[in-house]
Amino acid sequence: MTDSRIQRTIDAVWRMESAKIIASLTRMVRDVGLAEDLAQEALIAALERWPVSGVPDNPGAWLMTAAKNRALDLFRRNKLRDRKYEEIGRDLNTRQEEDWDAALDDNIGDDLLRLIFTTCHPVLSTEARVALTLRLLGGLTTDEIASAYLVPEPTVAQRIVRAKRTLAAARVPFELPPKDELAARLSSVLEVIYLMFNEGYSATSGGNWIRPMLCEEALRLGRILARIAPAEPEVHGLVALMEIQASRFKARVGATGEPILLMDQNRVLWDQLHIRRGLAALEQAERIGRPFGPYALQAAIAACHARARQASETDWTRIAALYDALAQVAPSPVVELNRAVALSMAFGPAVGLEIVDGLTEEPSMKNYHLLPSVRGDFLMKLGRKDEACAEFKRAASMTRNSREQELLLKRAAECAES
Amino acid sequence: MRFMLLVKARQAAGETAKPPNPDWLETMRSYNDRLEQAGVLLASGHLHPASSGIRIGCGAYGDSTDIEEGLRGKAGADVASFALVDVRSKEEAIEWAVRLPDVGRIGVGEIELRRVKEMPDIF
Repeated sequence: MTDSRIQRTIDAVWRMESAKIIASLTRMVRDVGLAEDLAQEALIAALERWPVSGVPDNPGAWLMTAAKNRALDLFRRNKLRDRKYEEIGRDLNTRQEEDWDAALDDNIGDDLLRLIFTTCHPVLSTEARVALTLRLLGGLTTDEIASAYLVPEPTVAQRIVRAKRTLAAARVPFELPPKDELAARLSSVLEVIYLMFNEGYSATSGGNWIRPMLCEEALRLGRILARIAPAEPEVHGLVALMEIQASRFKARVGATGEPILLMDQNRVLWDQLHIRRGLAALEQAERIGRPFGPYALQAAIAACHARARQASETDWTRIAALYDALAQVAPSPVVELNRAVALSMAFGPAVGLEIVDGLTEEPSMKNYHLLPSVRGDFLMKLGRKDEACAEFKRAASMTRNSREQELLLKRAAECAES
Repeated sequence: MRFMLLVKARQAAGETAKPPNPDWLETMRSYNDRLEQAGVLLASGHLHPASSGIRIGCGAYGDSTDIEEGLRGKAGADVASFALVDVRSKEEAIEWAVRLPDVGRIGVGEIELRRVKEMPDIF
């Protein structure tokens, strides 16, 4: 193998194995920062050794053993200094070699779950949670995370260092959350994964190739989570939502990079494999038989669109009912606005207008151009052209996107003409 | 990126001298399990013997269609199973293929990796 091929192979192996190695090590050394340092040292050893010796048959076990030996060295050195280290060191020493392989296989699900609950711990800021999760569970370099988030590399590096320190200072245990905290802790994990996905998804095509990678990382993490926490309907709901949204990845931007709205997308470009996997994940959420949370409800809405071969076949009545449910479990002005659109599609613009009129006083909607834009649309359909024209103009003045502005002014002109 | 991992048998698929033993099936199950646990597996399956395969030959301009049952010795008859995987790089696909367990036991001859086109590469 050439050196560059070995490099790429080591890189691939690292991405495949690092989360498992760090998770297992954290359980043993009880400190996520130290575990990562040890794993990194093992990686450096691999980078030195493998170009000469070749990639070993079981590279994961090799890295694990190398990291473990470094852990043992460290504990031997620190034994006299700290009783806790002594205890852990003894624990490490008594383990048999084969335990490590077994540990990688048997406990790995639990360890990975503990790790993701740690990196998404509420004691950390949202940015820190995302960065630490990408680093420790996705195996991304700080450089890659920085380019994905369009921030300087030292910012990300700092964020990660500080996050590890915060976790240590707060003495966050490497454990699954207790029952009474599980719902809140799980929702923090799901939020981090979905933020990651949306960051990648909202990136326009071309230009930055690394941003769609965030979608892939998020999907992969979601799938892993669905495997290790299969009893949680919202986990499957999130996977379903991401799979279905990912199915439209290539259809949602035009040739010149302009966004294409869902209803105008060429559905032939939707990825049917993603859709099938999304629908299967949604069924999985259903089978658990607990009420749907916000992710499963949003996935169910996305599924209605995915099932319609043509925009005109969309089951708006069902979508309206799902938005009603979503407004109950996760009320927000944006959900309300979407609910208005769904209800107007199902039952006519007057029904939609009634909901939207209730939102005009909402402070968070004050600068949200979609509110007058949607309201203008309802008014136009109701034949109230003058009012519609004014709303479109108002919406145009509120958006900074020139393409959108153009479109809104065109609609305003159409209202004025007729 | 998606890769189709095609496992080709040395002998025609499913027509090896020895029937696959339970150990082997268990090993394969745990391999698929690992793929799934890593969030990589999109679909997988084992194919029935090529002797029960059907070949449909299409003539020029679709004027003649010739259907033949049994694929022994034909091109592609050696494909025994497949897995569709979603990986980050070509190297990761290779790494997974290399880890296919104990391939000798069903007389596997080779593994072929083909990158799957995704929308809109197709157009």
